[in-house]
Amino acid sequence: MTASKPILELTGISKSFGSIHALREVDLSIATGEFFGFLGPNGAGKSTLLKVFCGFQPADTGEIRIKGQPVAADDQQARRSLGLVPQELALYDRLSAINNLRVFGGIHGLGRARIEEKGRELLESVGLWERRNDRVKDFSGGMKRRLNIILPEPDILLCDEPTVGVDPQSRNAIFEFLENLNRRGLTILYTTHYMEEAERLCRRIAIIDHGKILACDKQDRLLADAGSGCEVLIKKAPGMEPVVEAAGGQGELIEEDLTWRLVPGPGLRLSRLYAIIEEHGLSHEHLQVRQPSLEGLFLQLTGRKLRD
Amino acid sequence: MNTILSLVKKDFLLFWKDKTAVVLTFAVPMLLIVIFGIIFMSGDNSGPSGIRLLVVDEVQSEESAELVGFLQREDTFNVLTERNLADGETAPLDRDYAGQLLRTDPGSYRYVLILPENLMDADFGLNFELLYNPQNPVENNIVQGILQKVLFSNAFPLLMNSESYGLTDEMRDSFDDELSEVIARHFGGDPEEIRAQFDADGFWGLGGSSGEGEEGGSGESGSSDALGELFNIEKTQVYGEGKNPASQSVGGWAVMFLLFSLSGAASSLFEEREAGLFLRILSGPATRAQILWSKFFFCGLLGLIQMLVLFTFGHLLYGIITSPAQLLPLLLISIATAAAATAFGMLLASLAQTQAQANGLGTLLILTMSAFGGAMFPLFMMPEFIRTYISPFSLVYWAMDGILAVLWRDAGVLQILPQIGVLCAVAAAILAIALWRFRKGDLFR
Repeated sequence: MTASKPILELTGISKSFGSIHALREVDLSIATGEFFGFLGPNGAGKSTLLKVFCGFQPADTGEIRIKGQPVAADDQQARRSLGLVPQELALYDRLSAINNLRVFGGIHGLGRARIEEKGRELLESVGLWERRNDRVKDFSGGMKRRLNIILPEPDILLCDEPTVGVDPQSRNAIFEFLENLNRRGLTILYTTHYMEEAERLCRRIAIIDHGKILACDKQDRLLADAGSGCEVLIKKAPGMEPVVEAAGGQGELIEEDLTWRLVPGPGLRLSRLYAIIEEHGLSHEHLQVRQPSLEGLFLQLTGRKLRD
Repeated sequence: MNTILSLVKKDFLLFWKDKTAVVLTFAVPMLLIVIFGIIFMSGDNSGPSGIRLLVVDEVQSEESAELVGFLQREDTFNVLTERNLADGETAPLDRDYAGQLLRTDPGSYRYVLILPENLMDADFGLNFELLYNPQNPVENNIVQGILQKVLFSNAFPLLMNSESYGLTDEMRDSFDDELSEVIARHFGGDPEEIRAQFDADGFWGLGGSSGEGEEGGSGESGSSDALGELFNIEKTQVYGEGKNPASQSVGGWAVMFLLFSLSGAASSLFEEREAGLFLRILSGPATRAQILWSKFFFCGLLGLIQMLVLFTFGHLLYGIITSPAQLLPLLLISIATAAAATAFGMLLASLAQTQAQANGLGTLLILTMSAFGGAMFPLFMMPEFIRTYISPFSLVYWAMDGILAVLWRDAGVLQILPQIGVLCAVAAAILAIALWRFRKGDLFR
């Protein structure tokens, strides 16, 4: 948890579609200025959570507070501070880039002069100022994605997998743009199923699956707490059988081409494995410990890979 | 060959999955076949039926009553000869009352035939008076043609065989002399020989053969001129003097394409939903209601502009606006029509699940409403039960009625209040249904 004042709070949010439980008792608190990530596979409930945030879909139960105030599903004033970048390219592609910004700026209640000033700043920051008068339909996919993420002056930016189908160059531009906004104090909620995006951008991460938040903390703490999320690789070499046998009782052992991969259980004792190696005069290099990662943590928490 | 078959199969699969294409390919033309079949092949004739004809019989004789009877047997006309009195009794129509009806309810009554007291006062032939409101030139031609046919076929023999008109033998001789002169003048021949033939036949035979009368009434210039001399029909145009009949087509096309453009504009809601734009807009301060109302106002304004542009175009081309006094009522009926058409478009969008569905359903309903409402062709061409019981359920009917009232009859604001009222009520009712459907539907989910 952060010491800053919460800008967005969820308490006991649940949402079902028929028999499908999209969100289950979600509790969350996002601090002002935070870059917060939701990490989960497709269908985990990330997009539904954002839709509930912005009132597009009312929650079945629970409460949302923005800047400390409870927000009803139809409370437009409270949501004035939100800006959503949906997964889709939510742009009027027959309009120019600058006209798109004028439309969204106007909807958010910005005056004409402010829109023009802010529009230039935003378009320059994603490298589209020179193309401001071109119709969006003539843009490349990456350019559209870059334009898609800019919104005039929200306090909280909700980004729903904004880099889907984006080339590396545009992806970097998007990352830099968002990091820059966050440095200037904008609160950003970012959903992704790309571990590397969450690792790069988000200081705090919630791992979500089947509509439930499985873990939520700062990235380093998550990884530290997931000490058992490390993996042990045991090289297939002559004389290693006693090590493999001992490892078998310490977690899930998966045979691969050149190694055995040990996904540790709660009772992992690396020292016991090293002792066996020394007893049999084997090299320590036959045993490698891979540091925990978000992907490993996800696997540990859910029993499946992030991209399943 | 297998490749071609696979590709053909693929195209059929894609076609079948596109329900709009299926509807447009089969259902719409089937519907049009039905509608045009109703119009042009109803009953045992191919002409219009049930056109109200007010008949004022000032002669009140057995023969004039028989003539009215012939008119009543003509399917084209719905002949009305009496009016209801306050005490529940009825009285024969008089010329003042019938003329008043023509002026006060021109949408319902457009023709008055008067058998005047001086029916026989003409030097030669018979006198009739016709008050008419030729709102539609096609209807007018048909009505007058059929009227002539009935009169020529029946009035003349009745007249000649009647004693009650006081025809003496001298008068008959004089009539036959003049008639033989007329026939010789128009068809050639010797008047004396023609007169002798009359004597040989007992009479010239027209009374015994309605077929010859029909020929006379329907057309060849020589015979119709000749008969025209026998029947003096004094015509008085009550409305539309100096008006261009193009008002009907300008109004019709304007209303029909208003419906097409507005249903298309309203169904663009689906495009915005698919693009995720509603998600983006609703994440800010906007509400669902604001999105829907903004769409309603946009479509309404677009429709109004479209109507005004088309009327201006029609005026520049055909001079359909003849007085500045028409402008305000035309604006008001255009606003009401645009509002009703917009509400219709919103209803379509609320009923459909996809834009393709909305477009397919829209095409079907718009063509139906336009046909039954009088936008595609004049209402008089429809069977009477459709005009009476079906057409009024089409908003096109009320729009066309109001537009033609202004353009053709110079109706003022007060006179078109009923049409404006109905259109506004229709707009409010179907918009309420649309908004309810939007709340229940998944446009914003």
